[in-house]
Amino acid sequence: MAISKTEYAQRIQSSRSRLYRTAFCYVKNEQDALDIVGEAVCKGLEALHQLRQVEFFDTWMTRIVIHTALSHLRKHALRPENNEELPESLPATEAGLTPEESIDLYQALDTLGGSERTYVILRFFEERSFREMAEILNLPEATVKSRLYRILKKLNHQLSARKE
Amino acid sequence: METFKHHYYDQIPVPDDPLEQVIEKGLRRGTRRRAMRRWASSAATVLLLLLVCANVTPLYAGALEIPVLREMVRILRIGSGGQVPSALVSVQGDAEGSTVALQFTSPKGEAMPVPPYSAKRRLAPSRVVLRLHEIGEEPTEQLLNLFTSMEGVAEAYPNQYSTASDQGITIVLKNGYDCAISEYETPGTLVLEFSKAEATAPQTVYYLRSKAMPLGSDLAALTDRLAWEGATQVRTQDGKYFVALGNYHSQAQAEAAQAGLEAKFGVSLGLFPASGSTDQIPAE
Repeated sequence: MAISKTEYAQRIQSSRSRLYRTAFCYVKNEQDALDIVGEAVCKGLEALHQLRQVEFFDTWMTRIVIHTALSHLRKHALRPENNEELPESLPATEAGLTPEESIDLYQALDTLGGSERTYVILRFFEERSFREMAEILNLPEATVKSRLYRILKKLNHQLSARKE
Repeated sequence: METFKHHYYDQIPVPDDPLEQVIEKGLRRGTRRRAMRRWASSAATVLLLLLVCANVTPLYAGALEIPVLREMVRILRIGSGGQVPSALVSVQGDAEGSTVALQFTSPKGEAMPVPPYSAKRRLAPSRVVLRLHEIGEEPTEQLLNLFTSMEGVAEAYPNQYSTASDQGITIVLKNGYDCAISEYETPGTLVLEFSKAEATAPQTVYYLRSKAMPLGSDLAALTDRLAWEGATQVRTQDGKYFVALGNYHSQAQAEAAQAGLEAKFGVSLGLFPASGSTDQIPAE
């Protein structure tokens, strides 16, 4: 086992905000996101013996949160509420992306399936590199890239359709 | 789309207290499941051993004597734990690396379980307030020095409460550091670990505060009167203390809280809105 139970708990504590935000991106409500984090923490502890290298804790735990979130979505057949619990105010325009476009994209995200959403969340919400994404998703980097571009194309259609 | 992290992800409000609770529950549930799995696995192994080595009694007789290492009860950033001891206990500390371990002994010097305690986090300045109950003596300078020897700690000072057996320590964290508290049993130990946290820029926080006063009975009385409101004590740069309440986003929120407090108590308790940075110790 790469880390002890105590070290596991400490690592969870220091990455709790990120884990919560990742879960929140899937379900977009506080209670479900909390349920996902709680279940993921439990699953992670159960599977701690499978973590071989401490350097991979972050990707390993993110993978568990993603799987738990997807399973939660499947189990509860959740359709996230588009307008609930958005941050109260979005910052002003930055680098060509207006708050309105952010919200559009945020809402269009809901039209994606759970696993497709994972690519967008990892890439654009968490700003993960393709290499990190490949580690988390356990896929070749090239596959991650091609799937992400396909998903972005689909999202682009969604956004265009909304604007029309 | 690269700004999405800033526009959306970083703006998702994190419910600190409920998140803390689900993590603690998740850890407890995971511990139970692991124990169940180990038990099932051990039971199968023992059965196999009994079948295969039925005549080699020393083997499984010895296995029963494997000592149990101290077991973690809980880990938290804020919250409470411990159990009421049969007598007031003394606290001793030990520092190692980025941790301070507190252990508790009876008047006879026997190891005792962790007494009741609570931990609070406040932001201006960023600090942990550890309140221990059923303690026989005030925290010593030596104990406080253990905390200040930590890389992530700016300073540590005692608090005062009206109940003589309640002892408190405020540990002010340096910017970019966090503190997790682990409780163990057999022997009862509280381990405070100071580790680097997610980097954040210092922020201004609003709160309600009293006038500065010396560490003493007036400070203790006001803190206890406002205990249900989450009052804590802050030491200023000139060594005086004030009672602080709340972490608000704006002056308006702090003023609204002040009005609510006065309505609740029916009198002014002398608290007024103030602000401070998460990385600065108030001047006065």
